[in-house]
Amino acid sequence: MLIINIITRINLGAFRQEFAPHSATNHIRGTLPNILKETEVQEMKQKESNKTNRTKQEFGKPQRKSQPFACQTHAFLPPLGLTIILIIALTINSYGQIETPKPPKVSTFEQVNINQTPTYKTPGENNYQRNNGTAIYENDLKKQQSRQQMIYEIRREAEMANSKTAVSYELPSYGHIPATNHYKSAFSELVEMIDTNYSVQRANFIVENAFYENQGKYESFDNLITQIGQFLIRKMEELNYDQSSNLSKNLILFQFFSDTLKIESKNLEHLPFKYEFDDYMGHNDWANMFVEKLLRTNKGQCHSLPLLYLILAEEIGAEAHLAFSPNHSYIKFQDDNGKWINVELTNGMLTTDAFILQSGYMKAEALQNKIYMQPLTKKQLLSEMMVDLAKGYSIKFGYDEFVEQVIEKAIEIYPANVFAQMVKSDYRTLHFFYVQRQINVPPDRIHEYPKAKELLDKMYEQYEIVDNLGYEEMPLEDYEKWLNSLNEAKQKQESQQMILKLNKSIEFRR
Amino acid sequence: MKITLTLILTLLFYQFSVAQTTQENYEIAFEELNCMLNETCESSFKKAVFIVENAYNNNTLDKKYFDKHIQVLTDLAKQLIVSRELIYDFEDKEQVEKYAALFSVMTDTIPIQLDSNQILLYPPFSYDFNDIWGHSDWSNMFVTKLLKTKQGNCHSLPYLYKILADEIGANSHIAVAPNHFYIKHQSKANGWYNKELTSGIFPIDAWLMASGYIHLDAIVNKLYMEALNEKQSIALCMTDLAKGYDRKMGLMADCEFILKCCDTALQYYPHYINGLLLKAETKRKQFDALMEKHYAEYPTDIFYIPEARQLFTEMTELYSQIHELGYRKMPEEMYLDWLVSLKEQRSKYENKNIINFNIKSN
Repeated sequence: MLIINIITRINLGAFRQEFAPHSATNHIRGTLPNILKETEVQEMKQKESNKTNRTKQEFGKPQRKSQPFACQTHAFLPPLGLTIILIIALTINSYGQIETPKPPKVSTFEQVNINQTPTYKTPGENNYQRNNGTAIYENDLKKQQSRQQMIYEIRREAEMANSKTAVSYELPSYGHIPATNHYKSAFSELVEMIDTNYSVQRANFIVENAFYENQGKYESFDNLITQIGQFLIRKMEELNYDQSSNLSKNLILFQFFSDTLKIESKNLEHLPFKYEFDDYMGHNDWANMFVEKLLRTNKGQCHSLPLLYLILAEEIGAEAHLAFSPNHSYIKFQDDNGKWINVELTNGMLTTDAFILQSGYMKAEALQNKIYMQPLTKKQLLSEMMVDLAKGYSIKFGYDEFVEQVIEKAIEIYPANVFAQMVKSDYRTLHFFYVQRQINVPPDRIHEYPKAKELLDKMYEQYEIVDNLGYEEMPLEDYEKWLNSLNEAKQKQESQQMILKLNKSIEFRR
Repeated sequence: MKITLTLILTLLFYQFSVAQTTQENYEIAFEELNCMLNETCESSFKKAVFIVENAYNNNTLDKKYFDKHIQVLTDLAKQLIVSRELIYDFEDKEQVEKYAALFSVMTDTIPIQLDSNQILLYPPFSYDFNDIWGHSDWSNMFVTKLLKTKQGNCHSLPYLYKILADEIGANSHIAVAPNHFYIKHQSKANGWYNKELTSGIFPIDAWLMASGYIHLDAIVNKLYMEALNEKQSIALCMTDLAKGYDRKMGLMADCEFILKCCDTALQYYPHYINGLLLKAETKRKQFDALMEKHYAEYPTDIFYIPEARQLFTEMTELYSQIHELGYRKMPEEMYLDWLVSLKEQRSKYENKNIINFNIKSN
């Protein structure tokens, strides 16, 4: 285990991710209970080179992990990634355990008296006490085979490490799979939308349909949205809302999401959308994050609800924007006096900025770099759509050059898109470890492979970008706690007051 | 009668000459700070702080004594770095060790072994709840006062910290909050994090945001919670100089000197809220004086004077700029409540990443 120790220490956390890049609770700045951090309060103790202690600390050290946007997206490692991890974990272990395979010991054979007639037992009576000699022989054979296998593994590794030329520095591509073509065409359609006043409805449909391998029909989706739009406009007429007011339009949308809306004359009714407590990050099924699923089941989360809101806003000509907060997205719109209002669709409430700031994971730098709480422009929204596309691809197939291509484009059109930067960070990490697995050298010798060193530097560079943006990972339990705190009396009251105020200003205009 | 008159005259003359020398002292201090800002001389936060405080004390402070005091604290911090081993595993360990040592020097009681059976307990600096605004005595805000009494406030404590950090080569940044200063550090393990010296706690940003007087715009516009660079820190001193001058001279203060200081500071730190506020208040004072001079009752009464009109526009523009940047006035009573809330709601506002570490005492 000594070797592992050295590796982990020099690695500065990077190599360590291999051990658990897929676990859900830790990130660059891990949340594991005993992580060693800057130990300032009582920090600094006398030096003690207790080896076990050290090892423990180093394993507990924070790991950068792919969990960019809990609610919206959880970057899954592809199945390949998992295999890589397993293999690496095994190979690293074997580092410390390499020993010459021992030949089977003769003493393990038991003396068998050939002359003695073997006593056969009726099957079922005692199956475990079979002929000793044969059982032991079979056992030994198995052991020997597994040792052979081990020798083979070790040799293979040694060969890999020695033959520098055979190293592949590119992640294997999934491009040969026919289904990836849907993604490619989806991407090119999204790229064409840049700098145009594109349709959010269409863009979102493209992204989701690529995941469904273009099985969906745009016409039926379009029809459904049009119907809802007509329903909303009819309702506005019934309520005698001013149809030129952005506030009225947004309020009817807000009611559509959070209240039961009825049109008596037509005998139509729409129930409020519900928050999906199960799998709100799309862990089990990525399609759970889709608007299509929200419309099908009437249940959604902070990814699909705001998107549907934007689609419907577009349909009835209201202006609304997406905005981010840690692990979360919500809607911002301006009332007729230009005042910004926050709509929290997961609870069907209006929220104050103060509430969002109180999440506890909002750093001043994040606000100063404008990664949170800013209304997204249409172009920036498109960048976010591309992130969704890249995520869908990585979950369906895996990370390859297509993911990089999409994410680079997303960053190009919106450099402060922290979720795009996070996916890129995942990509860089996987890319480096893919190569590291092949060359299999300790970090202090990484410079012998200039290309690998370059990948490592790029990975660190990307980590730096994410850190400088002021991103801090919010653990899921804290996220849930924060979202649930909306149900506290104080927040509810605030929301009620805001709704009342807005309704009054509408009545005043009427 | 004659004697009284002579006495009054002498006193007046004395007063005048004192004002004269004070003015000169402040002019010299201004030049010294200004040369740090325009890079014609070496920039040093320690020196800048001393200049400001010395000017207020009529150049009577002992520079050698001040330097020596700082030296002692610096040596103490260095000793701490050598004698303890920080369990921290990122490449910036050397820096973080310095941060840790400084924090101990400021807030911990440090046992120092004198000989085999004598241990000296070095006491930490503490918060002085008397006169936290320097209302009764402006020098209560000073680092020299902090060194003398070991008690300070949110002005002197972070300043001293910054001075010590510069001395041992640690990267530290002063940050501004409503009516408040604190320290920001960056580490590889935790990114940016805050140090609150008045209570010795590492608060998360939500604590500052919860003060209720930080508008979202104020953060986005970097009015508050921005890690200041060297130039900006000197600009803080420049504004302090103007403020000290204002306090010292009272009615005899020359508004132009204050404005000169503010403008110079704002040139290097355009969104420094205290600088903007002092500038706006001084303009207002000037305008009030004009109104008094012309026996005007309302501002509009003297708008026929072009100078007055211009002054008024400048003043209102400045105030609206301050408002647009996101500034909201925090009442002084609220400040203490907020400061204390950190201790009361420690579990809510403490940065758990920093305090979650393996304690290995020896």
